[in-house]
Amino acid sequence: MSTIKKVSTAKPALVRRNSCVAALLAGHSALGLGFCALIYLICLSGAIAVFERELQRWEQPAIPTVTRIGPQAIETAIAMLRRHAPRESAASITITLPAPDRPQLLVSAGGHEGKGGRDWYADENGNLVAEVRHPVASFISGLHTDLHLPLFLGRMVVGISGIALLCLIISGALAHTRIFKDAFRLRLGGSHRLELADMHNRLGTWVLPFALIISFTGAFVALFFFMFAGVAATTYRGDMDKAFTDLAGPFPKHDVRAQPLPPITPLMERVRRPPVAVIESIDIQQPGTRGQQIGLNLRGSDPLLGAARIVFDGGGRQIHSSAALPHSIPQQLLLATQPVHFGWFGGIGVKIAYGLLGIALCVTTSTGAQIWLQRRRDKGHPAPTCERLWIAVKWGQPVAITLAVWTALIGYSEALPAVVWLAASAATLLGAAFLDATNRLELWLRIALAFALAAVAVSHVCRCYASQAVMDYWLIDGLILIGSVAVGLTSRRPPVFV
Amino acid sequence: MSNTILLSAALASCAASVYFLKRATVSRSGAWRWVLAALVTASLALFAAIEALGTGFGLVVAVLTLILAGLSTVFAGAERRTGRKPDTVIEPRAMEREDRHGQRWRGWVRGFSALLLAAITANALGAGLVGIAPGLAADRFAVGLLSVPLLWSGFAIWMVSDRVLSRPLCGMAGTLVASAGMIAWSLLA
Repeated sequence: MSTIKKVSTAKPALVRRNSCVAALLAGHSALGLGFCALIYLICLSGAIAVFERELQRWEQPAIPTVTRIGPQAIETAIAMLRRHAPRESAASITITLPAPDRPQLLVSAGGHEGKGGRDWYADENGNLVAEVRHPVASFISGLHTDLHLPLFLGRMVVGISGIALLCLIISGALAHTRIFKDAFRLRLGGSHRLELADMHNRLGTWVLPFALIISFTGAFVALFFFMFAGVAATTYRGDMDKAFTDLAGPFPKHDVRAQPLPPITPLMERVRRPPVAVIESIDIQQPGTRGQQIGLNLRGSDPLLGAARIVFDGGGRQIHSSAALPHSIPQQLLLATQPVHFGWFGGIGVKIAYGLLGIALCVTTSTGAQIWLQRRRDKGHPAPTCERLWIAVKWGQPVAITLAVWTALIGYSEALPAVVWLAASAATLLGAAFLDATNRLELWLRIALAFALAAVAVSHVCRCYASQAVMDYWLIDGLILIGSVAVGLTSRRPPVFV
Repeated sequence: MSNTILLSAALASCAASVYFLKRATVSRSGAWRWVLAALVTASLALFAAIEALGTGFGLVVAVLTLILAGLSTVFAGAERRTGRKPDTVIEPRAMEREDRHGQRWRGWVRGFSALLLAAITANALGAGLVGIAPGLAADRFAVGLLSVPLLWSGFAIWMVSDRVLSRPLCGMAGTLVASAGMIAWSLLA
């Protein structure tokens, strides 16, 4: 009697659990299919964009290395910048001081690093020596942050893809009932679907904490202004200025009457006293007017949670300091979202880890899409057009990005890489949709990628040789060539869909 | 010197965590799991305690080290099978309700609701909760902003995973109404 009772209570619970897992998997599949191409592209560009500063130095090697600046370097740089770019520097000036991962003095007018302004590298005495030209780094970071789409559309698409990735990670983890039991089980070879499933599940399991952090912070950074208005309206009773001030310090008042800029070096000396560790950058809003404001951005001993900002008015009086009143834990978490997402806080070791785990996310996305396509094949109703389109995304996007980088190296237009990427993406997708060559398509795209990578490395070496620049970055060219050979050799492997 | 000792201890703890996780996956005893939990906690604490890194950076380094150690173990112990076996044929089950002819609109409703309705509901709930929650404005603001993406993904998962379409729709509509009430209360108070 008791046995019957046990069975009758246990069975519905098991059925409910299986039904719940099946429903979660159905949702996981639907979301994954809808967003796999976007997530793959954003993860791929993100895995490259984490090395943005190294790319900048790679593509513009003939610039002076600055580790320490002279006593009057900041004043000289500001004066020269206002002479070189009077219109842009009337809005704002930003000076980024040398750091271990970027040993250069960067001076920007009217924006920062190509976003609507002009930038120069300066030497240790503050003399502007070379205008910044980073078409490769700008293209890669633009692709990651807004897919080169106009206005806020790109950021919205990227943010929604981040939310979709967050949903996929959570639903995948909840639906994976043997997540701990199978944590180390990886079967390569044998059944193709099993191999794909093992790769998807193992990478998904181990990359889970990183993927959760990256998707959450990515969605947050991309959709910040979408979320900001509603939350600020109720917290601050509609006072948006107060919300911004609490977050980033006071904003300058608009007063265009002329007032000389106070000397910046004494202000830096004032904030350099302990416990402040390092001044990272200086920004001057509305310089040369009565509304001008000088902000110093500081980094404490903890590169993630120790950020602070001190603001001075046009007369050199301190009007705000987040260092004086330390941030609470929620505020620290809020301020840490951006550095955590971009991985620019811990040197080259953290960047390499981010890059590898970004590639792991691409492989997880790719295997997820392939599992769905393979299951359809094994059920007896394959989707050949979808298979070709997925190959066009999986191998076509690396080809399109590499071609765009190559044109950036040999051309002089900032817009050219985005145009080439768009044209190459359209060509591979249209070719895949209308040409009936599933097996050959993958081979062609792999060979194209191998040649494109080799072309990038050779073009960079030739450019450095022509400009007589120091070959500091031969390691990157060497890695690209190794990548080219590896892709070329693996292109002899049998295609995925057979 | 203390940094070096702490770093060595943290790395050893990470390696031991991965080893004990592997033991825990094959053991029937639950004791390994407690050892594992203690070791993971110790790894996080040791990395966070390294003064040269700082708490936040230390925790991120701990997470990255654990992930990379785990992945290395997985790939090092991968079972390699020779030859390619044909995949088993999957018997097609009965069609899901939404795959049936005339029911495809449900899929579109789910998609758009997960995108739009879930976004609006998450924003409204985030705004409503910070409006009535106690504490400093700056803290409430930070918690509110950070909670919106999590709420959005929670609602989106519910929307695409629930077999009964009306359940998440009604749930989100109800949440939206309650959030509107909280927003009105906080603005009028």
